[in-house]
Amino acid sequence: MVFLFHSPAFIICVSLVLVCYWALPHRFRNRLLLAASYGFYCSWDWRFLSLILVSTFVDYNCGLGIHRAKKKSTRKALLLVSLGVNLSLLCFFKYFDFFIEGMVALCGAFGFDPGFTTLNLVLPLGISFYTFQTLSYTIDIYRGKFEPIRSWIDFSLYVAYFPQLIAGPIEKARDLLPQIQAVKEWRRVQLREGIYLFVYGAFKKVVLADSLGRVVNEIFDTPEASGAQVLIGLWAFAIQLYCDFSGYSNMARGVSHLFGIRLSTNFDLPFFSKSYFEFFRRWHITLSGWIAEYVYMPLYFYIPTLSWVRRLGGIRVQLLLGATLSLLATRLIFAIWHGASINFLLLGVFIYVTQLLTVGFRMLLHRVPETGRTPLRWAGNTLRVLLMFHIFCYAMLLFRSHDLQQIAAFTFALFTDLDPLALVVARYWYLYVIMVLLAFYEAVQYRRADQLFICRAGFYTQMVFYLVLIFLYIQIGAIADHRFLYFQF
Amino acid sequence: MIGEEIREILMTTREFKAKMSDEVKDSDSLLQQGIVDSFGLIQLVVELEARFSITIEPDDLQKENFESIDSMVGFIEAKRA
Repeated sequence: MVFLFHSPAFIICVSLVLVCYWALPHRFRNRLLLAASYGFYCSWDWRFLSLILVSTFVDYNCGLGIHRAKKKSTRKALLLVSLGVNLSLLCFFKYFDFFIEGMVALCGAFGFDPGFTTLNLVLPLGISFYTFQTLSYTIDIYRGKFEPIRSWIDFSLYVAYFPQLIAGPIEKARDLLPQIQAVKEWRRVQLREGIYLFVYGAFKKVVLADSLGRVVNEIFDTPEASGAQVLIGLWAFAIQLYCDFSGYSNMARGVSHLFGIRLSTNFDLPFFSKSYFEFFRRWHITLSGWIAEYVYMPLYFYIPTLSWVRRLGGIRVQLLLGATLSLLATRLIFAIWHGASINFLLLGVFIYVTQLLTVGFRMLLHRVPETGRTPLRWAGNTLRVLLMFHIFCYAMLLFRSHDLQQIAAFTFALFTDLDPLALVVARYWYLYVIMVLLAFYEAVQYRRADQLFICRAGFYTQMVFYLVLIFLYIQIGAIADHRFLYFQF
Repeated sequence: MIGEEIREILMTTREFKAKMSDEVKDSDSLLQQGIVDSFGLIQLVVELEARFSITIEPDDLQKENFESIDSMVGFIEAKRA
């Protein structure tokens, strides 16, 4: 049985935990949350609780060991134990079958059967999220940025904290652990913001994402879709994925708010991005931030120090090489983190190539004399936002397609058979309604630079907002399959 | 003084000025806030070399040296010393 965040069973259980949590003295609260977290995880998938316990045990002790060790070699060895255990578990469950299939296909191409068989492994729920989360703990201790904690309960709760256990946000230890350990007091603003985040998140998931899922499934199951259908399908899927995952993240933050713990914002209006760099600061922020901090930046500053890179030219060339190579590594990790398949590999390469092209274009553009005219600047920015959105939509074709043939067929249709008039299809009216409403609401959030502005509005404004959500829920309706897309990672 | 000159570079160079504002403090992380990205850092290094007559070596390329206006001030002072 899966307790989805918006299911009545989950809401009842969380309400009970919440009442007990605030009724208990501080010293018992984390124990209660830990028991609830393990309980929820077992209700989602009890088989892999042992993996969480292994990660917890290894990282708790490695963290203490790294801090105590005097020799650099010992510190490094303990960090490698932490990295090795966590990444081995992740790679085994997530990539073993993909690797075996690839080996068999490669050997088959040379007429040789290696006799390997796949294990048909089930991916443990949340492993990609909590693995990265716990690694940030040991890496930060190794770098001297964080001191290990000496409470087994608090650390276990950091690894298994149920609102963000199975699909993030991926919290760094230095952000979440101090909050877990702090003595918390109940505040009314927590209730107001928590309820808003949860209700609006559920709305994005149940009403927006799930109704768009119908359009997406229909179009991606059409063998010979026209260019207009493909474009509608890509718009719908881009918004579905965004509403699904950001809706989940909002719900996770909302639940956590009620326990007095603020989780990081995971989505910050990504469709207003004017460039790739901005997009990755707004989309799945905690994963992008994790990769930027622990992979991209270290590689970026390390590559220019390599002797063969030094020989290639001056500091400009060295930095350029550092940027392009570390970007390649980062984009591939970002894509493959989502799953082991050719689609995701292609996605990583596509993002990398188009990002390099946009950077090159930006550099060229900076040589053109500036115009001080506001309307032209506004038009330029709007065009950049639209271009970025459509590059993302095309990337979603690689994310969602069944196979390479479909990618090829849809791409061909998109570029050779696109009739703009055919985009106006009456049966997809709710797609356009959703796009207009979402764009309007997010434009207000963007202009105010405040995603929670509704919480600060007056009583009647808030009432109208919630009534509109209820009205749209009734009008657009909910459909059967409410599983979150990001639970598969 | 050095800090003001760095701020001026950030406020006037096309690569950064759209993202830079007076509200950015000297201690704020320019990399984290996206005012300077990895490709923008190439431009910044060139500007710093020209403005302060220093030569930046590969070994100087550490995140801590370019993180914020404050850290760049410290780095440039050390280079000039």
